[in-house]
Amino acid sequence: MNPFPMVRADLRAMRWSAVVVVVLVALAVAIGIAVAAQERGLRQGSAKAADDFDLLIGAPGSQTQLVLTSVYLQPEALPLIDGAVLNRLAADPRVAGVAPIAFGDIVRGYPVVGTTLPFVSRWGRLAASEGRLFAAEAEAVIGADVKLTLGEDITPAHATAGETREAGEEGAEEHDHKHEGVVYHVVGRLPRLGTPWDRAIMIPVESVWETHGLGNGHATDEAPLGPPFDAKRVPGVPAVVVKPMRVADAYQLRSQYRKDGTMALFPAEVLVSLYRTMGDLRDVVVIAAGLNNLLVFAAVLLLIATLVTLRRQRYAVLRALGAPRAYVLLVTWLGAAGLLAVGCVFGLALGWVASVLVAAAVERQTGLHVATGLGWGELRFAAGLVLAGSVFSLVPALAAWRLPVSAGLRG
Amino acid sequence: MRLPDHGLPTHAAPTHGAPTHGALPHGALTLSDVRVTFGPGGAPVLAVDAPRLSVAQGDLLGISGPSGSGKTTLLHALAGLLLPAHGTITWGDATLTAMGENARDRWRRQHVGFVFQDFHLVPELSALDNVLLTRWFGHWSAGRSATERALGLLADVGVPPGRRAGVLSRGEQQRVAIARALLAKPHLILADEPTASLDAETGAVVADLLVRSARETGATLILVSHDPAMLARMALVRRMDKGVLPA
Ligand SMILES: Nc1ncnc2c1ncn2[C@@H]1O[C@H](COP(=O)(O)OP(=O)(O)O)[C@@H](O)[C@H]1O
Ligand SMILES: [Mg+2]
Repeated sequence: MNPFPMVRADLRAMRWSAVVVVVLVALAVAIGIAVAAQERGLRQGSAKAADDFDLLIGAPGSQTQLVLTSVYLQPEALPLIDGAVLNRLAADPRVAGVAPIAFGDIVRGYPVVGTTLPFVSRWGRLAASEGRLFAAEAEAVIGADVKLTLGEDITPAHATAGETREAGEEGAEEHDHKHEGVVYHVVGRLPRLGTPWDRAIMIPVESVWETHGLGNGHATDEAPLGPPFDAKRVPGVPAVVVKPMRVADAYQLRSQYRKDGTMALFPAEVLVSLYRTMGDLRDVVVIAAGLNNLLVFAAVLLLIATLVTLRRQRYAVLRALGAPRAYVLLVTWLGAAGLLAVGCVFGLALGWVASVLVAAAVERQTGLHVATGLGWGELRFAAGLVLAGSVFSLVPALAAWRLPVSAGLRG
Repeated sequence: MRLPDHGLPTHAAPTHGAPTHGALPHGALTLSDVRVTFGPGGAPVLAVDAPRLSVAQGDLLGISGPSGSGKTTLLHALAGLLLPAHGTITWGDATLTAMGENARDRWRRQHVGFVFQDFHLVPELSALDNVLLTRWFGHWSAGRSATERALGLLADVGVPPGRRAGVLSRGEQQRVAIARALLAKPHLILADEPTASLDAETGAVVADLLVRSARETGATLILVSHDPAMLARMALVRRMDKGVLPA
């Protein structure tokens, strides 16, 4: 049995309807895939960015603000908490790691973040990809995407609210707010994290305090970097990131630091509620998905309608010539499946290109790396569409069997 | 047009659904009390009324009659394309009117070559592919001998094999339809006005081809025509009127 000469004939007979079906299916699949891949990628990417931030402690206020500022480095002024918290946490047996996160300055649009070595190395997970990590107050480590060279000396400026943060360029505002006399020496670069921290310049928290005239947090100038901070008054910090020992410790610490002038939260939890309240984005997704379904539906209906009108007499002719039922059904199924499959292949390719473009735009704007691989979900969706659509197309072919061949021949 | 002076290639393999037994089955065709009706159950229109007809294997029967007298409907019934409301049709041992839909399709595939009044070619396929179409119902490749036979038949009827059926003239389409019906060397050839779209000269060639094919394979030929020259070549001619085929 060789159905292909007839499949070719059928497709030629369909002409423009065949092209329309392919285009519609391709568009529908592409939209579905781009939306699904983006949504999933954005979730994964933003969740991944919060990976090393098990528990955040800050001054009472907006939880979302605290997460956006420390995890995604969105420039926003936060109230400070007492720096003594750092020592208390460092001594707490339930704490595996603790680090301050202090921001407010920029260099050529890149945020300058003061913290401690354990967090720069992400609790020991990372080593410098170039150079080394900072070992003195005047040294800086840069993220993978910071366009500075090792050995360069930089002077931070106070970030102001009106500043347009075009990364890599020094704006007029930045120029006017330089901390004159303060110089950091770039000594190393971190490997890529795929998070906004790839665009951060990391310095010892002591330097941030010094730059703002608050001392270095230690009793003497020569004290080694990092905790304990044994100054009489440890300067405040906007955020503290804590790595708890165990899950139970995390919950205990959170409830303990929820009172007495501090706020504690799990960024992952805040993200979930953030997704839930991101109504606008969700609406776009919903509308796009609905449009998508509508397109697929229209394509399949058009296909079926074309098949019914085109094929009625043709089924009869084939049967009158003695074609077995299997032959007629195979021709019908192959024609429909072929069209849908071609549409899906174009759609997958188009959807993939679209999600790569969107991912690039997202990364350019936020520094958030969005993975764009085609998932099993997309492939399953396409395969299901081909299968369901082509099986559906058999209905008119099967229905034709209820008619006497003679009547079909008369059209 | 080339006159078929070479005879048909005899080495052609039996095509779609070779006869179940090696020898030609003896298919005497009989009709008794056959009535075909159309329309709603309450007020059916009688399209064919054939009380008795018997055609021996290898006979040549011509059927004439005015338009609308039920000739096409009768041929469709003989080919099992429709089931009469009443009566029996047998072919050899087989009772066509008792067979299920699939069995009739299979029987037709094995024994019948039909030249439709409206040709029913696939317009998007070439003349050659139209002739070979039935081969693809059972085989991946049409096969060399069948292709040679198809080319021979198309040469006999004088149609270029590569031309798309959709652009052929009516006369050419009719001739392709005849070549298609003859490809598998059927035991029963049913031809519905096969020369209606042909000029006298071409008609004569085609008539010759049909009759000669039937004689060579011992096939029964039942042919509907208004053409006296065509009918003159038939052993027996019956005339239908208002659906009635006189006994
Ligand atoms: N499927 C059908 N439904 C209703 N009437 C039909 C159908 N097929 C044929 N007829 C009628 O049966 C009669 C015989 O038609 P037909 O066999 O085509 O005549 P002929 O071939 O002799 O011109 C005509 O009146 C025709 O209209
Ligand atoms: Mg007729």
